[in-house]
Amino acid sequence: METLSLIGMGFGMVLTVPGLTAVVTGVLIGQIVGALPGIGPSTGMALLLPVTFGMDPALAIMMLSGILYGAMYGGSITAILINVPGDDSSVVCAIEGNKLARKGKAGHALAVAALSSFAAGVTGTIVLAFAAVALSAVALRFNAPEFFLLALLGISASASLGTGSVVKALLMGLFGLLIAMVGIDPIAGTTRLTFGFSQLLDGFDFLPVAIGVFGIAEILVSLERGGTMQPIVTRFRDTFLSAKDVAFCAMAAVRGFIVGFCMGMMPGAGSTVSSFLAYGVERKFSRRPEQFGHGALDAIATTEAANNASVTGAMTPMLTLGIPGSTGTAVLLAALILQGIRPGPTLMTDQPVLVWSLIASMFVGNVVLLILNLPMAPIFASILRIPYAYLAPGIVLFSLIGAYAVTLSFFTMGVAIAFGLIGYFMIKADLPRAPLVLALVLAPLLEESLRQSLLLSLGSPLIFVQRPFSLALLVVLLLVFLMPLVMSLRSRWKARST
Amino acid sequence: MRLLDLISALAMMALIALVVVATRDLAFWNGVFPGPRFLPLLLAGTTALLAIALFVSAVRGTGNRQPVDWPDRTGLARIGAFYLAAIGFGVIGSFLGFVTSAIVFLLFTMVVVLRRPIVPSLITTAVTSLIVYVIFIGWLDIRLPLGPFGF
Repeated sequence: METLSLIGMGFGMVLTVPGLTAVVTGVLIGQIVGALPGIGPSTGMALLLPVTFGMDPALAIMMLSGILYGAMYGGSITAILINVPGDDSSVVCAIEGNKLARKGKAGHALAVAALSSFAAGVTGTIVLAFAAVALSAVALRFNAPEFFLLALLGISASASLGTGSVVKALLMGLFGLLIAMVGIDPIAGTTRLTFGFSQLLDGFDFLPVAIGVFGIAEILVSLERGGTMQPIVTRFRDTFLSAKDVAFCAMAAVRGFIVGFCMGMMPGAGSTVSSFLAYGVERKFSRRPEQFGHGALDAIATTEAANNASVTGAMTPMLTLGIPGSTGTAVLLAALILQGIRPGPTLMTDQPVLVWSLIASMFVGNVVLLILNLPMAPIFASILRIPYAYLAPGIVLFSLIGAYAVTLSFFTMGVAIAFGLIGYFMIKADLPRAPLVLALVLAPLLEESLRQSLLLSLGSPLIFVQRPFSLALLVVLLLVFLMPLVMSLRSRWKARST
Repeated sequence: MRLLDLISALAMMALIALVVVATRDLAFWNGVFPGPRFLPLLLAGTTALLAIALFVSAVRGTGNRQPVDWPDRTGLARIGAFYLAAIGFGVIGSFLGFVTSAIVFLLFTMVVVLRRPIVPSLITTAVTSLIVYVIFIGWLDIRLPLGPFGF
């Protein structure tokens, strides 16, 4: 009851002209920066931080958080339409969504992305409002061994990211992990595999690699035939989902929400890991797993629900304990400090207006984003009406500038170009590209948590079975590895007996 | 596909060799905990096993036997020229500025590489370059390299 009255107070703050202006401005900017490759929500928030100095703290935080969750909606637009993920959590959306767009179902894909993002955003906010404190306590019991096993679980999910050989999928995952070893060792601080090049000290950023293997490589393949791909026409009625489609995607979105919210609460896991893990989970549960990799609507529902839920999930430890769960919430935390507010466990009691206005603004912001995205889907999709030969150079141009913007150096642009060629070879050799990108994202978490775990246990691997949460994760991991083997042996045995 | 599988397996072997050689001076184990070489070697070992599995399946011909859809000579020349244009964009962008370089890149790829008519190509180039300027330089204030013309 008390929570409801606090939410009411929050809505009182949001549903005013300054409140609504802050929310709408935030989500609009978020939508745009999310759609632009290389400009993630954190960059968008950092760019807007100076503007918020003179603002009321609650309005400033509402606007900045609007960028954070607005970007999750925006990222899927470029991913679906032009196969260039706007931000790192949209890679899976690019894999499945662009295939649907090329089948003339861009409207469907955009509508599913918008609806599942909305559902996850609103549900996440409700969970945040009513169960934040209790959930944070559980999330904080996760430590290095659990994070290592989670990362390993994510990598093992990469076996399901290809459409063919498991060996090839795992090999590409390992390729990604080996690339991620380049740079400065996270524990010892020594250089590793840099070959004396100072540009390699920071290692390979995830986004230029994703831009190369997805965006540039796909364009090279499509230009083999002269870029004569027919323009794709999407009408308004194409965004209408049938009841069957909604029912089919609903459970996928629920599963994506659960994975995304839980992962979001854990510091360091983030929306990218959430979307990949949700994709792996959904492939196991889906009624049509054979469609994965060829344009699966439920895959979009689950990944979009996961990355949006992870944003609200990451807000949970931030608001209740003052611990940021992601880069975006770290920027939000910085904004709070700049406003003279001390984040920490007492934030919810010391600053109830700010916290509950923020929570109420997330309800309103998600509604605004749905209103913006659902009817606008055919307008966004109309970009595909432009003949491909005129579109392709523009896509490559935006991709290259996006890659440059990641570190403001020509090196990252060169990485994107080089991985464009590697991606082209991978397409020809039927090597799945998503495991490579997933491994690159998970590698820092995997290495740091593995070595920290062994440091804590003085080198003993028993640490992974001595903690209840890590033991449970280990059992899940073993099941993930053993289940396909058992199923394959069972089907062979059945085939022999018949 | 068999040849590409063989090439992929050999490329991974070469990468493993590079990792093993380039990390030889790093510590594998520091007292009671893993050193900087620990994970690279662990990954190299696992990758080697999978690369061997791919190599064996390629030699035996048990993998994917679908023929590779390679482009014809014209297609290959087209993607080669497009790829070189992308490299050229980065090279000339450093001294001509990104907007000027974008104009050159767009016109070259549309008119020369993809053989599109000049007028629609010019319109597309103008619109795309304007979008690049307005979003990245005007609005987001990202420090893209500027050329002698100030953009």
